[in-house]
Amino acid sequence: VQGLFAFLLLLLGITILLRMPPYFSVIYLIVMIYLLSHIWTRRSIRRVTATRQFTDRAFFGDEVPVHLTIHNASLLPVTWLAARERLPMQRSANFAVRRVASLKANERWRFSYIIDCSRRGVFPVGPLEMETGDLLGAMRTRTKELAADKLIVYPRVVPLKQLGLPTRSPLAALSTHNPIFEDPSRITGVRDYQRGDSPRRIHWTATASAGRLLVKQFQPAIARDTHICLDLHLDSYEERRVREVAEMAITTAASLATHIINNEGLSAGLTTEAWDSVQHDWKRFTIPPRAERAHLMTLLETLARVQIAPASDDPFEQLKRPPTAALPDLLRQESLHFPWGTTMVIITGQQTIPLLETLATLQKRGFALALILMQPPAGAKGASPAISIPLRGVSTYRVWTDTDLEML
Amino acid sequence: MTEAALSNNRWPWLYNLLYPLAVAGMVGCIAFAAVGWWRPYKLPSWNPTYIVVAAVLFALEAAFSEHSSRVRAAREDSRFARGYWLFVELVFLAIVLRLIRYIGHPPAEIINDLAQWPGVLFQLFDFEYVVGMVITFSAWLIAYRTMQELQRVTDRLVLYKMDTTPLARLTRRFYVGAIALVFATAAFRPLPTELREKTYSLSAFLIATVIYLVLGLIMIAHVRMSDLIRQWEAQRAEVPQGFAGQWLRATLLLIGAALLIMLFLPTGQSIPVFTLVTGPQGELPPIPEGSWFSPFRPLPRRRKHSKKPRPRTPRWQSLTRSRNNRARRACS
Repeated sequence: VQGLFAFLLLLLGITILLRMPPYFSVIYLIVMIYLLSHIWTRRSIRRVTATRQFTDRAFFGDEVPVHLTIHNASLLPVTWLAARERLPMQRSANFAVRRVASLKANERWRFSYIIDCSRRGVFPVGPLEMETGDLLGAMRTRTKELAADKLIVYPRVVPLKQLGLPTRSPLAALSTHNPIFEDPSRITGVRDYQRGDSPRRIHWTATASAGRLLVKQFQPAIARDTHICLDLHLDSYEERRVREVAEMAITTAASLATHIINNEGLSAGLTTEAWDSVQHDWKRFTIPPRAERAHLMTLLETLARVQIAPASDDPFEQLKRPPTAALPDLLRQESLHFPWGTTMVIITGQQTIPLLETLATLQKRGFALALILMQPPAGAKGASPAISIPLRGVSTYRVWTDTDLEML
Repeated sequence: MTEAALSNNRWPWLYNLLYPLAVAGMVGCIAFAAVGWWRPYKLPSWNPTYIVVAAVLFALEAAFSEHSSRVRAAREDSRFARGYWLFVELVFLAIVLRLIRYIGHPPAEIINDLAQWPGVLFQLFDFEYVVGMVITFSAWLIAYRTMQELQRVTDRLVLYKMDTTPLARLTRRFYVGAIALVFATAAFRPLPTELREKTYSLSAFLIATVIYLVLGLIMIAHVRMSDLIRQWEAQRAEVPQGFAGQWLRATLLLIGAALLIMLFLPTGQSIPVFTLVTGPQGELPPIPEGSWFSPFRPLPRRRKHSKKPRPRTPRWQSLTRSRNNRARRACS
């Protein structure tokens, strides 16, 4: 009740001026209502606690249930409590889960909602704002907040049918049609001894049973340390579709890493320089190649948090040039730490002269290179008239849709 | 059905029971003050308590009338039909008011009086009846308007033509009533004792004010609840079914606790509330002396801090005098 205090003062004035002591009872009544309301609201909200339970990591397309529990630990009931939980992946704060309840003493109120992980990224779940007040509206409402938690949504992963990345590594690990390197642990069969065969390759058991010299045949194999270099520099992408194409580039990187580690059992690393949506700053990420599943999760988590530009409502702010190195500089700086023979998969939006020069240098230094251009296939509608010079020894791919990615 | 009517169906007891009773009670308190003011001046022999009862009944009828008017409007009845029904209601109420006067009279007298009605139709409108009509129909109108405002609270949040919301208007109405009651009581105090003795005691006015405030605060609390629910529903927040019931319980708990504290607060003013009925007519009950806290209790007089007189050393003359006296007594 707005103006209760003014009414009280007026009543007090009349009572004192006209000397009507019994009217003090009315004043006491109003004062008591005011005080009790104040104490009730203050004490009850103080003992209200909230907890949030959910799986904080999810894959693209998953549905994550979020369970909220609000507990009134006070002996006083909370007459009304309006809870407002801001939903993740929404631009406006108005998109929120809103619930209202009246809590008895020591009552737990549970409610839940589902997050549809339709976007990659690191999203705040919450905060949960709890608002309560008195019955008469004589005092301002009181609020309490449960801080936001983070939900990591991994990037979309497209299953690749076959990945034929080049290699120069002599350490055999993956079967291949190229018979340069063989894996001595994988015997495919035997053949007759030929002049020049190493005596170590003679299969003595088979020789004894066949009565002639037979040698072991090994499966040709390769090893590959793949390092994915993801270009998330604003200048590398067409301004018109920068967000969509960058998202596709991230999806490509995630799909490659998943295929290499999960399907091939080989190691994969990542280098990129982008806006970190967790630390809210431009950052260079360099993750050395490893082959464990936990490492894949680290790679996907990194790919979940990178952004080509900060997520801001202001479009001019979004397209401000970041203080990051261009791709050729990044490759030159980071390749110093890579071992000889590493396969570098470079994912970028366009082919430039400095990039081609850098690739040529890297090739000379002994790296196997694969260039994935996030462009429509040459000659297709919407294909950019950018430079497209085939570089000898550099496998070049164009990815524009999921189908292109599957066929890598 | 209108949107408001539909939304009010969720908690029908609120609109069909609580609000009409609270409004009727509040209107009854104001009618009590009005009757109390008329009594000493114009009609000293008059016992118009029935007007207060009539005002309460009329206020309840106004709630019903407002409800039926709303239903008729939802049924798209013509304005003429609605006006006709309203006219019939008011005529019926006027007759009821005249009949209420007969309460307590012997049946033979009532029948005799009723038989004379057709011949002396205009004589029925005596001063007492006109005063009663003014008070009761004012009560009816106030209750009708208040019920309309209460219905508007649940309407969708829109920009009102007036710059105030229904909640603000209801709150203002509540304050106006409370201040009128307070002034009615306050203005009564300077009257001469012989006039005051002809009407209700001031303590009764005080009780009327307390009842008015309690009922008003219960009503305002629920109006606020309706206002909050409207806001929440506009934001698509889910409101549980038993919410209004819990709100009512909490309101009663709060106001009950405040009332108890008020009654048992060890002050100089709590005792008169208990002795309201037994107190002398028109006089304020006495405030007991030595109560714990009374704003008008005279402060204890401060004693002047006087220095204790120092025992004076006897002068040498008196010393010698006492010696001589002692010697004289010994000789004698």
